[in-house]
Amino acid sequence: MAAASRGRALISRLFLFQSSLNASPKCPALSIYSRNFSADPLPDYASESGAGATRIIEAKSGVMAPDSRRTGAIGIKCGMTALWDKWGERLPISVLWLDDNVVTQVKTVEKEGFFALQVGAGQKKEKHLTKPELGHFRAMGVPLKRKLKEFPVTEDALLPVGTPISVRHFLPGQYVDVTAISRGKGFQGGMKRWGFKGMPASHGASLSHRSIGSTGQRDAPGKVFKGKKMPGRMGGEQTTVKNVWIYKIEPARNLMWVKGQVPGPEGSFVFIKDACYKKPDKSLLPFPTFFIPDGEETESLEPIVADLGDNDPFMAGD
Amino acid sequence: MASSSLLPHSLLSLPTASSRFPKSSLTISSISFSLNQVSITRTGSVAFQPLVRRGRESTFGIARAGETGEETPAETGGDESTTETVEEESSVAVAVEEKPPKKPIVKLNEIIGILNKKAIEEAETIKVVPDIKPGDIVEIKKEKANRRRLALYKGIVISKSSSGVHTTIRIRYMTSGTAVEIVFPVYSPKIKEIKVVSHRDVRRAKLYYLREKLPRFYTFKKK
Repeated sequence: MAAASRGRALISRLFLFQSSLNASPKCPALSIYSRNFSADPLPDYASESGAGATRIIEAKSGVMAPDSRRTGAIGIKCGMTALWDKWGERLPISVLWLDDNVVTQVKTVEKEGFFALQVGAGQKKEKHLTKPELGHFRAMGVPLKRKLKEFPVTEDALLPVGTPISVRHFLPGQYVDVTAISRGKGFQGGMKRWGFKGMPASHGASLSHRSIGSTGQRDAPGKVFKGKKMPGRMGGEQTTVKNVWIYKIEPARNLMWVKGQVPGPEGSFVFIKDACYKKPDKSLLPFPTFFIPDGEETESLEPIVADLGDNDPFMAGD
Repeated sequence: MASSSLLPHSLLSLPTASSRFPKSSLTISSISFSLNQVSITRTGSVAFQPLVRRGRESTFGIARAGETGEETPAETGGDESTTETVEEESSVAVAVEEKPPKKPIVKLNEIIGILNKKAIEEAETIKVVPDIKPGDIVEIKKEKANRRRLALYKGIVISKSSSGVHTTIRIRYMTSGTAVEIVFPVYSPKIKEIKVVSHRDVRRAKLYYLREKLPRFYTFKKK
């Protein structure tokens, strides 16, 4: 027992010695965890991180460069309806609610090795959070959130902790990619899961109208290949629907009307980002996010609808 | 320095005292004393108080700075927290006077219903939609593409599907020896007029049995 504990103490001392050797101005974190002996001078944290530079992130608008990437937001899928636009064309609409999005953590190259913003949405009671989660919110000084999601950004798109991201971060008329966990369909067969054609309903087909049929060749290779499409659990996994068109936004209630379908059931979280294929016009997007100008009463703003042009599509023949 | 003597976590905010005081221009300044010195300056003002009810928050104050910045947020944060706790512990009468009237709480599953009601109100400004039931004989005037004159449809309503602003009715009628069934979204802006001409007594909500019946039951003369 005593020998083992002595061995463990020796190993820990060797580790600390190694970490103190590795410590340098570039990675002050390791030197912090090394043991400070009374004979040594006190570590001066300010000068140690001088080489790493104190990064100041300010909440002010900037210009979007061609390779800039801004954050996304977290929404809640409220449901689907249909609307008619100003020309009378029917649009299938999904309603997304961006409930209280706030930047909860900023990840930088100095500490994490990359640039990202962690956004939180919703509200949560203290008693419903675990201690580590609670400590994270307390340490960052943000309200308790129900969902956290990290969005990788470029350096010029960083925002300070606590910045609210409202629905005006997006423009009506822009395209977005919406990611969510799709509806679970349970254990499903080949026809529903993979789109197999099945077999004839009659003409002698025996007991195999919806089966997957053959699963391979014969002696060569003599096995079923990995990844063979077979029945199994369908849905309940992360899916991205791309190039979803934003029809309308309501700043007063942080609601977003989006054309078409969005993965997931009602009440589930969706993650909205700028589209990667149908890229929006960089000069029009609020960068890094939309900052509310002084004196603007958000609750009295009217909903903003996408610009549909001047030509009536129903009078195209004229 | 007074601020450095305080522990970092005592400064930092806990849930959303901002929601209790719904002032429109509220600046929140949060300072992180992480060892890598990622110091962060003031943020934008809080946009919108959400509709969904929050839980009971603790009464610790936020390090709320004035418009000028964060000179001594420690002291102001400390003072404000004590005053807030005093406010919380005061009598119910005082609290009721100070708090603004609570907004009605909207549940997530009611949002779509509310939006549909609003959309119906907007659609009603285009035309007045009468109460339609299966068995009604209605006349519908609808705008068509590339045509100036409105098209007229007269038939019997064989089903009604209610779903908010996309409530649809299915009309069955006979034209030139062909039976036709058309689905009309009642609140569509292309439909300029719906008029209930008469009513036939039926004992069903869906009159699909008319498909097997003689055409005279769904033939109507247009005047």
